[in-house]
Amino acid sequence: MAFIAKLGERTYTVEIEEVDKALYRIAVDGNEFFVDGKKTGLTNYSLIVDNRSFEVDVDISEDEYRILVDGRSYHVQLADERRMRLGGLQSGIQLQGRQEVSVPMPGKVIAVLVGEGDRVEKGQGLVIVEAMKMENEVRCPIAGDIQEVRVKAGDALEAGAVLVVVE
Amino acid sequence: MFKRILIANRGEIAVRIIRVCRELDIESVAVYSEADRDSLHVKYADYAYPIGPPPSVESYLAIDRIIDVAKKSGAEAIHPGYGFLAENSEFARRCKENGIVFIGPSPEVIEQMGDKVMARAIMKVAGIPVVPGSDGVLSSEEEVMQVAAAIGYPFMLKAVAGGGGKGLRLVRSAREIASAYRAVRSEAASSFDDPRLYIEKYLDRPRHVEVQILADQYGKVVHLYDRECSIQRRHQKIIEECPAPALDYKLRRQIGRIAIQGARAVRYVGVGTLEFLLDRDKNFYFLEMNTRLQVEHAVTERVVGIDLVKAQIEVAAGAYLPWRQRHISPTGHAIECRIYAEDPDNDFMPSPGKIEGLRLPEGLGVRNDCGVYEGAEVPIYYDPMIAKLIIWGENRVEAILRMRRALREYQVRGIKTNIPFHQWILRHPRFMAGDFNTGFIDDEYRFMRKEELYPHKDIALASAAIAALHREQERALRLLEKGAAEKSHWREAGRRASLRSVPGFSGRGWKS
Repeated sequence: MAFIAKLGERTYTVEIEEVDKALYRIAVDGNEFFVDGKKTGLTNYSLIVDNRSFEVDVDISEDEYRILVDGRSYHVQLADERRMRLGGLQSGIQLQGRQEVSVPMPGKVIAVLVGEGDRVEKGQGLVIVEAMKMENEVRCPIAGDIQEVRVKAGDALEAGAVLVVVE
Repeated sequence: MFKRILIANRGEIAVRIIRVCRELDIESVAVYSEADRDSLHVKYADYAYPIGPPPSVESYLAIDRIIDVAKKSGAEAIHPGYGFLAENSEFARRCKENGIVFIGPSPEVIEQMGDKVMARAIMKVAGIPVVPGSDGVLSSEEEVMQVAAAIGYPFMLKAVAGGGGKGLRLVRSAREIASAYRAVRSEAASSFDDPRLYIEKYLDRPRHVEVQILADQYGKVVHLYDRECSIQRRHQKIIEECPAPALDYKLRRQIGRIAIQGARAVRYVGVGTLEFLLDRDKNFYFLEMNTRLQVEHAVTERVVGIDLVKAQIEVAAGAYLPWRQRHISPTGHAIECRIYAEDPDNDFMPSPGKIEGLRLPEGLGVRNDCGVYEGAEVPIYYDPMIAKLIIWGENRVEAILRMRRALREYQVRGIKTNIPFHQWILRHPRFMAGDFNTGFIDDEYRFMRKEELYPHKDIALASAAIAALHREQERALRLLEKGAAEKSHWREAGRRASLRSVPGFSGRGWKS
């Protein structure tokens, strides 16, 4: 199987083949190596590569993989290469086009910093949300125009609530 | 000694205090909000009383309810922990009126030190250097302008009742006074119910150093050396050390002596901390006094070998301090990392939720003060700090290396934590060299190269691919099972049909 993976700013082609039980041949952009990979818990894996041992934690939601190796977190977006070729580029991989900006946790809106029709930069603050005694600035994932503002100051938010739509 | 103590707090600090109660053979009374029924402090305590709905104002800040529970449960004393009611003079006063011992200083001292303008004045009189600024409260933009002209720009405009990084603004020029004045005044009124303001000269990226004080009711005061808490994000401390790398031998002695002078000036009783800012020329200035146990008290405990919570309870019960200053000597170096339920990959958004898995680090020199357990829920209503990891080493380098090792073992699943962020700090050459100040994270974090974050890129990608393959295989297996299940339905139906048809053949079997 082949996947297209996005890590940080870069995209990689990751090929994987199970050559034996729990033994995989993996190629990252053509660089091949063998991995003895055992699933040792619900989200926990033990990997041995060239006799080097790694304990890895994989947290999956949709096409987003949060991988914890050696105390560091790697945020990987992974898509099946075949599906991508068939269905064109998936929205999850490229942050383009219409974006619904949401919050991952419940909270309260303290202030809305933008209005509909505003032009915003990537990383610009959109809304200030209070949760867990802290005020958090929700920033814009892309540059674009504000299409919709769905909240106002004082609103209570559920986890996953859409705050702003940017295009 | 007390027979029963109520702990007016939650999370790791409530657990910390209950542990001491066990060791002293004191019964502990926990209080909990509706969101905390399953919390660790409730399980650990000898008694537990509900005090109301999840929002803190209706539970952990509800003075009446907590006093009621104290009386109902027969607790003789209340330990407030840190945060919530720990520096609330009204609460301390109400305890006193109800014949309950408040484990902390007197309501008068809490009030004096909580009023930043008064605290500055008292310390100035006691001969302690304070940051240059206004001598009193400023009540108009014009007054701010006048004092600013005298002390110079830039300066900080602060709320008298401020704290925790709220109610303050940096003013760089006269033009910014009007908007800053309005903003801080409204923030002060809404957050602290006290619109009074004052100004202080702005020190550019100072270091944050503090001294731990311990005093009994009979006038004996000792200091338990210093800590440094310069590693802060948005005015919230995240890594603390004891002793402070910023101080040399001479400064350490001097700041300790000054801190004792300050504690004596307010006739302090119990455990308290004087915070100082240290500028680039190694001048230090009094910032504020915290009249309570600090989050980072554990690093001091580890280095001086004194249980601060135990000392606090004993002092409140009327014990004499058994130590003289010369008996107290620091050994080695301790570092604390605060573990927050927040996502460093997503702008440090809070990450409440269920802890699906938890593995705490162990081994030599490792101490965990943890307020959660595997399966626990981190509620959205309270501070995101879920645990503290305290590491001791023979020296600072050993402590740093051990901390990296321990953080590597630390596993929290189900919610996001700032552990990867700690790893980044602990590997930073400036942190290693002790060359940092309160501007460290602002100065360095944005320059963090993504590449240096991905030393195990191939392993991460391989893991993702393996996990994805497993997912694919499971999906296929499910389809297959579903298919098999359907097929067996057909077979079953066929079998049933053939059985039904059997009676028709009865009596005419092959045997006959």
